[in-house]
Amino acid sequence: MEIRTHLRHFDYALLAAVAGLVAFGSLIIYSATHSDPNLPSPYYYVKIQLLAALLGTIFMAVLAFIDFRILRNFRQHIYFAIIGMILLLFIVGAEAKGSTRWIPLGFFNLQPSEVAKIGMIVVLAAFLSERPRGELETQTTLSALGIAAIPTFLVFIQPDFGTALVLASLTVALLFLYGTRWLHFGVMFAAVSGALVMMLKVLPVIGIQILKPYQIDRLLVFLHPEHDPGGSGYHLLQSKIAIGSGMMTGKGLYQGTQTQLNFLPEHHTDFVFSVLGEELGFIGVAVLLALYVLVIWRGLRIAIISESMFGSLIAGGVVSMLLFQVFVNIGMTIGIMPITGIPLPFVSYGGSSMVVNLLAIGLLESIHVRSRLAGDRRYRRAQTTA
Amino acid sequence: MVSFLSSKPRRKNDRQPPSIALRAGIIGGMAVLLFAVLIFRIWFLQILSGDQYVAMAEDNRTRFILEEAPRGIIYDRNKVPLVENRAGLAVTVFPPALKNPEQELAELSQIIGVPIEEINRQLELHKEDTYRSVVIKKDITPEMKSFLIERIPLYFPGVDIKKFPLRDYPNGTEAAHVLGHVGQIDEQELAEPRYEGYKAGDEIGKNGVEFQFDKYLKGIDGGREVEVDAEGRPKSDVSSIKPQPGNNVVLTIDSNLQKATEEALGWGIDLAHQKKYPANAAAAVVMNPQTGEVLAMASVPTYDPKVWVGGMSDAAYQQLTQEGANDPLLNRAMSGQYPPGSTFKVITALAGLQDGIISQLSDFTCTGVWDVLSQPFKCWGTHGDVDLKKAIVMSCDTYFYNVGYRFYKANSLGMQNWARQLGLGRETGIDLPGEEVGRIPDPEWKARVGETEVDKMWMPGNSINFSIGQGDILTTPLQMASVYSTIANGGRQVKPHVGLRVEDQVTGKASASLQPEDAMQLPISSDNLRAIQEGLAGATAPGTTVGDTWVGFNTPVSGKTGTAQVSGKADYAWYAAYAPSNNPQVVVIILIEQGGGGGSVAAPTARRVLEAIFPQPPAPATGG
Repeated sequence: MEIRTHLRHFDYALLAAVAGLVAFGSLIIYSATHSDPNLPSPYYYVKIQLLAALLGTIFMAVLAFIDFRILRNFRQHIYFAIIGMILLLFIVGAEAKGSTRWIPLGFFNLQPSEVAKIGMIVVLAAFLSERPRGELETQTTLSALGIAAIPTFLVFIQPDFGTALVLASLTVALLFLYGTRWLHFGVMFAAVSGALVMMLKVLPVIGIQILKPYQIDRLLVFLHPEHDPGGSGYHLLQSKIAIGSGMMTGKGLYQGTQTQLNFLPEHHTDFVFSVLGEELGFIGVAVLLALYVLVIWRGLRIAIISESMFGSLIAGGVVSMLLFQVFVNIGMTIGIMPITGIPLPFVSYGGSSMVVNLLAIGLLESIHVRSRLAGDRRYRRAQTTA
Repeated sequence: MVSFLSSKPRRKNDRQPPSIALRAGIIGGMAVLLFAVLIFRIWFLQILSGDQYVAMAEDNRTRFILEEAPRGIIYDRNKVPLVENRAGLAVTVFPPALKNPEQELAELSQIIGVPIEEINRQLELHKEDTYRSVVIKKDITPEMKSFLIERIPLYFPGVDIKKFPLRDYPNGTEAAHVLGHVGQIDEQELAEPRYEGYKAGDEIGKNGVEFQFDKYLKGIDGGREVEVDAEGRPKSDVSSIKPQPGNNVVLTIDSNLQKATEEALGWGIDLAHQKKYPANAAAAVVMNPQTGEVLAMASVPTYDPKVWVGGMSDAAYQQLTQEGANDPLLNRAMSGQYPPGSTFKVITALAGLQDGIISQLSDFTCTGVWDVLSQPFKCWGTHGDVDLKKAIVMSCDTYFYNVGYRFYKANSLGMQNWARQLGLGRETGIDLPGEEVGRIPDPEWKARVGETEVDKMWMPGNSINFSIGQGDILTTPLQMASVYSTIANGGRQVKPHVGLRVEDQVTGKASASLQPEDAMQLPISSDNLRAIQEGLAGATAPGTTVGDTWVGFNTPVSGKTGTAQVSGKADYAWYAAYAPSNNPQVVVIILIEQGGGGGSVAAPTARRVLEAIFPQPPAPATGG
């Protein structure tokens, strides 16, 4: 296969949107961290972020050029690698005398929960794409749920509630794209609702705590942040002040008082959107959201034009994962979603998240190239037969 | 599990079903919905409520650091400082910066020795201004400061130590009652119109001159508006206003004379103790009879105004107010009310002359007992034929019984009217808070307060007792100073005052005069007044009620003793004097509670005061 043909079939709109998000994110991270006196250099975070982006771009390129379909053959390896990494976290965490979300690799701290997101998309897509529809539907649904449940549960007890939610949501999205019966969704919805009621209301009363108190606090505080402005509600209140005070055009880059004076917590990771809202205002927010809309539109388009069910499911899964994370993260900063610690894709500081998200884009490009090549072949066949 | 993961492809042709487009479209629709939710919510925050959040961000970012203006200095008439300022250290708390308020405040309470309830009360009081530090303890020692400074970063975020101007009293307890003290404004005071424009935490004068001239003494607080980070560390100044110090107040008080007067009272109490009297309190007023300027005003027991500096402890307050402390906070010179005893006789005499009840030549015979009524009234001596002058010189009770009885028979309230005209029964109007008015009993008053029908009636005995300043009459030493000033200065009623002028603290220029309006001339015949003055001049000669108190005193002194009977207590000793007799420059009133005879205790005390004004050549020791 010629490189030139290949390059011709890239989805450049998608690439441009992602590049825009990475550049935008790096700028905001720089603004949020450049005045931190504890840093060796004002570019400290932004450098790491761009290095991660570079690494991610390499992965993306490799994936874009290989045929994504070979991943099917590695689904077991991927699946057990995910579970292995998460289990390894418990050991590392035990050594560090506390829970941790990173596996130190010397030059890089690997965050298994990020890898799990894209990995599970591939594993579930591989599984579902081989199950015929209209046959053994219940078995298919239960099997898919079973496959997803193990890593999701492990991430949940890690505890990383946010990632567990992402895994659960992309499982549902994949089942939906696959064409699972509505009845199954109904049963799942009822089961989850029942479990939530048990977890939050019934079990604590009889003395069994599944969520840690701080997790429940964070989950519920977005409903009444003003009741506890000094504690869990503080982050949310400060975030809303930051965004709200940005108004139409923002206070200007590096000029956000909430950000620069540290009223805004975790302003380069979970609350990076608040920095954007404060310093660049509604206009900056609109540009960022437009870039996400572009990514999601291109992703869904790839899901539709994919030649294979496997490709459609992967593309749909990636889109759902990104959409869910964008909505939950931004929703958290503006007080309509609980505080769960889910990063904003391509924008929040975090190497693992950046690499994995770019890798996911690489998959989308690979699917795009494959479907375009198939289109070429059909065209040539039509030409020759004619 | 492994089996379903590696299940053989059941479908060779992995072509997607046509419904995938529909389902992807539904996800796309959901995306549109979710993004719409986000954008509307952000629109609401940034565009519709933006102003509100801008204000909140400003509140976050800026903090006002109050810089208290130092109060004005209080000087005596010779510019000797009576109250100054010194730089104190105060512990402040900034509630939003506390990490674990309950625990941190409890520990802080232990260290600085302020009860946790008091700290919480202060914080509650300042709840409204969220972005201000609250002072919870003023005037800590430098040792305490270094102890706290070490621990603040680690254990007490939100606690700070700042400089604070504090009152300083270079002369200790001197003139404590006149000067008063300062304290933090309380909630009730904040609501008063007098304190409009004041804010919680302000220091205000609580008593004395500090209260009276608060508007001059209090400066205008300044402060800095600083930009702070989330930990409350100041980053840069936004704006600053320099505090404007309060103006200085110059008093009529003469520090040296004040000292001498206080010493004299202590000496007088000792003297009373030597004479086996249980004297336990005293008061003195020294005043210029021509102008009403109070040169000294003293009250015993006294207190150290220092105890209020930086907030008084409960223990100290209890010590001052407990039973047996004998009310050290009371300024007896103007708030203590006593029967004036014989010092009142000048009013009876003046009333008699002015109302034509007697003439200067009227004679009465004193046999030691006056028994016109069924109940006999005793005189302290036997004086034979007594005219007005002799009556005053010898303080003959019989003479005044007769005058009082004549008033009664004439159905006249002349004595009461003249007592009131001369300033009794009402405020002198001195520029100090808390003045008492005393009491001038009359038939109306008796009818009002009497419990039984008999009590309600004005009896001849009431007039007779009144004539010698006994019975239900009550006066303050300050009122008596006013009465004797009028007699000394030829019938003008001056308004006693302690304020002389206000001076700018920076330039030192006089910015306001505190002198009262001109004195009022009372309708008293100068002839009558001269007769009283002559009597008072004669009453300081040896052999009168003062014994040889004034022997060897080179300045002519006029004076009158008083020995007031108070039921259940030893006699109260009074002395009222002015000097020099021919050109009075100073009136001295001495009162010693349960000090015994006015002549034997109060008069020598007055002499010690006058010695401080009119230096005497070394002479034979003053008699007792």
